[in-house]
Amino acid sequence: MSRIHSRLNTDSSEYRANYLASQRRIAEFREKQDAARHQRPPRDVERLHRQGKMLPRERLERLLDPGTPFLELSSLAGNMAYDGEAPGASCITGIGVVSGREVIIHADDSSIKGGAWYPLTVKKIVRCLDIAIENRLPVIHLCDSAGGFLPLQSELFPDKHMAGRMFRNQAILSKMGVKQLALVFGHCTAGGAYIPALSDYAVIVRGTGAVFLAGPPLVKAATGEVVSVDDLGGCDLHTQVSGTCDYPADDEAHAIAIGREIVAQWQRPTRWALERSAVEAPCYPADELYGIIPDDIKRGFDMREVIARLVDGSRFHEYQPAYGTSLVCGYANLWGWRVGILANNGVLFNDSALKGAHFIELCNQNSTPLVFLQNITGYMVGREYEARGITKDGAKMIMAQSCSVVPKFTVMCHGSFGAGNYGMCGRSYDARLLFAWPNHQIGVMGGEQAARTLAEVKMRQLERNGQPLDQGIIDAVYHDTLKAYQEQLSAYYSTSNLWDDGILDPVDTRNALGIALSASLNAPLEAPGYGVFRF
Amino acid sequence: MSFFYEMDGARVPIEILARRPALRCRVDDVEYIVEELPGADDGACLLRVNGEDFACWRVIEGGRVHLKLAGRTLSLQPEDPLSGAGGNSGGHELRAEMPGVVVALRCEPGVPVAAGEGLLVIESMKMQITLAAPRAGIIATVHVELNETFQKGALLVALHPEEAS
Repeated sequence: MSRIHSRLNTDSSEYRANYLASQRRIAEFREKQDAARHQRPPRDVERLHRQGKMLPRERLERLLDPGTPFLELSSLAGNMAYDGEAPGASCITGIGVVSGREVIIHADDSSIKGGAWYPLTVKKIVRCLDIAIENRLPVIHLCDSAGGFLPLQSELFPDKHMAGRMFRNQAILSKMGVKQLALVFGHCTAGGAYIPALSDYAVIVRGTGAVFLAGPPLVKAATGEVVSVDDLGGCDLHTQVSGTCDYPADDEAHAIAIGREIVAQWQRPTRWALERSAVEAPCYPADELYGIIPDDIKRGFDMREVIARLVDGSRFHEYQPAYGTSLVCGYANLWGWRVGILANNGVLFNDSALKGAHFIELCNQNSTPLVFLQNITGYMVGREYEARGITKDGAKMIMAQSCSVVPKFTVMCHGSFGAGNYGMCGRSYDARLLFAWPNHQIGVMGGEQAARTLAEVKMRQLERNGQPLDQGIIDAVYHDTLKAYQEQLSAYYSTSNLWDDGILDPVDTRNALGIALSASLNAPLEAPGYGVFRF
Repeated sequence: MSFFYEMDGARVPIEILARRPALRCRVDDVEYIVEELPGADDGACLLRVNGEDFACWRVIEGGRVHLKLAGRTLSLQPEDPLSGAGGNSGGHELRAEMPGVVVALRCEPGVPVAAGEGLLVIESMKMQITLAAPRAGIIATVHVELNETFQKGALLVALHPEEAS
């Protein structure tokens, strides 16, 4: 495979300006992430220590194999919700290695409001279990939650993908033979009680761990019975009498040690044999990505420069290099594994859409996972393109991509606007994992376009009603829309709502994709098959 | 299978006839059987060519191999058969691949430009794209002005044809 010959001029003023702007964005991202991970009211930290509890990240550190990577997911979920009251959406999820096995971890964060589940907490846990199902990853639950955040119950309880989905997913995982372990450090109340009950193995800490459908206050209100936490659902009741939990532990460290030994008994999964070569580092430094990413959402850039800094040896076998050039397609190795890459180099035309659909089919028949690198403003519009069938060609790409059975991974590198998001494996299309860079913006259209459109609508409305054309009113509509869009288009808003699996520092993308790819090999491949393509 | 080596500036064809049990190759119509003997290290190696043993030293630097053999130092580089120019034809004209508007002009007639140098920035479908010189040359004509809209296929910039090479 040929090495990509970078044309990046690292001495240019544009490169240096981009680099500085990226560094500013990364510093902002790291600051937000650090706050979400570690900034807690001292009162809550002291309470946990008084109870003999560790902080959730201390538990993780003890649980994970030393020196192995941990890919934390959606570390900034909830960062723009609930007035910032639920950093990280009050839980930690991520893929790591325990006793030599790849696992996914869900850890309640009791350093925030007793680990209460906000609506976004539930969304994050459900997503974690969806990832477990799609990749057949064993799950370790670190339970310590006060239960659902009651003031917002209507947003976390009744709908299809809300609280009930956690337990449904647990049952499905069990049916698939994917192992689950629950370590009960604190309370598992109401629905939360089903987490250990639906796990294959449950360890509970004496004195602090408790599992019950209703805590003592609710029991008293319901039946008048007065009972202590320990008598109602403590360690000894569940490990000696009810059989709801399997192993009693003296303290948290003991529970983690038992948990690690349980995982060590699990059969190792049979991974499907993806073509693999010797691993080679890219031959261009990853931090040059900072100088490639434009500081302006409207500016395009050559995605080959990004590919050159992600893949092994910066080697890339480009497919149809002269056809449909606004979509770069080709094979590369990532941490030694062969992947097919689809990357946007501009708007999608008829030929680029057809090329994309064709390449997706080739990769499916060839058992080659797909990596989508998005920077897309949509499919080309206009009469000429409609006449040539841009809509049905885009539909072919969506068909091929939706029905694709090989693992898919998406990185939101810059813009993701309009229907291009669909063709390029946006959130709705089951990418095994979907990451975003901090500069990323996503929306049905850009802020300026929306503001202009709505200002024009307002103008026509005033005209129709026979009112005078007040430029002030029109300008206000324009600016209000622009402002609202700017907030809602941002990567922070997107990740707050779990429209992705987390923001990445661009230099970490290669590692994140490597972990994601490795995890994806646990789930067997289905035979490829498609619906009806409109030719 | 055959490929080319660049050796001290000359292009040398080598034909591989077999790799096992020992390397058998043909250079300039002469066949050689080459074996690397074990026991040497740290850049030193022992080669047996058609039954005759040679001690030599070898350093690999990127894709290039430096070899000291029988008192001579040779520098060899295997030619990458994939390194063809491919679709880059490098014509005289820069045409619009899609309708759009010119948002920045960075070239004027008579000025020399390098291959890949940005000549103008266009905006289309909410995205700004820098259009680069298809090859090195001198600008002949700039057919558009700043903020001018153009249709697909419109001629934007032309290079002097005689500067091609």
